[in-house]
Amino acid sequence: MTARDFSTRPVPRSGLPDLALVTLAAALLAVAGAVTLTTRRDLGEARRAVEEARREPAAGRRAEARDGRASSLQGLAAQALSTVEAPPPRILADLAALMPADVRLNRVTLTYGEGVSVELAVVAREAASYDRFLERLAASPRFTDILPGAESREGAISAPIRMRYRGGEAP
Amino acid sequence: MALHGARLVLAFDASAVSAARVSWGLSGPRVEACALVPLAPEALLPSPFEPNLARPEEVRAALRELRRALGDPERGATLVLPSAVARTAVLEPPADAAPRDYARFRLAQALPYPPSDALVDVVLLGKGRVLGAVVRRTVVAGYEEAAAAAGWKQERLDLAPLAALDGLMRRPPEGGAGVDVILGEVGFSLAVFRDGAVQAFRSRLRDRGEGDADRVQAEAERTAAAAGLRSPRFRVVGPGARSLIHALSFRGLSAAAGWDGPRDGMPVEACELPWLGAAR
Repeated sequence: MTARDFSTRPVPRSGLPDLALVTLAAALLAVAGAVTLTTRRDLGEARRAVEEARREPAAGRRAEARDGRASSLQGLAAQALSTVEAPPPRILADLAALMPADVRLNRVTLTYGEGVSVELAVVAREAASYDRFLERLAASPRFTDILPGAESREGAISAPIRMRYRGGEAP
Repeated sequence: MALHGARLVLAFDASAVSAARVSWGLSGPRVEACALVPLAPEALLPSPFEPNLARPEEVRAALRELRRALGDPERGATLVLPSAVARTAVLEPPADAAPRDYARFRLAQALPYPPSDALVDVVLLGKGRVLGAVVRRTVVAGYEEAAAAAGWKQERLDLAPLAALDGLMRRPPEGGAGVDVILGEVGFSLAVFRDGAVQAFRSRLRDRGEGDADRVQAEAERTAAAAGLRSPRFRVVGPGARSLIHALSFRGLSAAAGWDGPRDGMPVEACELPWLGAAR
């Protein structure tokens, strides 16, 4: 239900919350697509590596395969584990839960490796809202190593924020 | 701690126009800037049927001065109309009815003007109840035109008793029961809380002459008794709130301000401004 209004000509309410949701949905779609592509490519590489290792007859070649690919496979395994434990929708939902109504995300970059690093391009209508978002991030047990970037204050506030996703039980 | 960004509120009453930038925190309203410009007697006469701005040019001049006092804000403001301009009723819409549509259906039946001239909206009270309010379009238009002519940009329009109720419902009375007295210069409203929810809402005209406190107390006690409350605690907001609290306390009744706030830079105490609830 919209805010109470007895105006003779009600002004359409600001679409900011809707806009934020649409932006978030678009970001989610983009991130999910990118992660799917990356995961599929990595899976292909892993399969190729396994097949290659199986075909190598010589022990030396097998050892080389182990040495050369082991770290790569371990990385892929860690990455896959991170993706399972911290899927993009969960991270985005955790972010959305912390965002004040007039804060939106222009870009979300999730990098899966040993852990998950998150980079945001944040736009806030008011400085107070941006500060509130930072406070909530800092207070959240799910994010750590919050590193706000340089703020641009031309009307709205826009700034990058980097952090790591620590996760936790799904809400 | 503020939970929402500050909002700009512009309020009318019979003796003055006031405006403030307000945010709401856990402890109540936080006023960042506030100004009040008095009106000449009878320049503005709140009533539910006739145009209220008896001398529109004087009201417009006061509104221009008020705007200057707040630094000519460009952002949109919530306009708040005084008590005594609306009819209200506590309603229980059927489960499948939209509360606003149901309130329009019920309230429009007993109006002395065409339903097309009625502007209706509601406050959600919980437990399936709403407070419906109806105000006449021509009455609202007079206020809107004056504000626009003075350079104010209108974001939405609310009514002082409903705005105050919003603020008071943020923190229901201790024990979930009590009577909230929402004062205006021309009228006042009484909201009875029981079991943590508003059970009754009643509005009356106010005579600020001698015996004002007696009359308000008598109405409040009658309203409380009708809702099954004995010896209720009172919370008061609106013009004259502090003096009514003193009067009630002097008679041994439990009375307190509906909300408080820092006095610094304020023309009056926060509890004297019922429309601060519109910033919620």
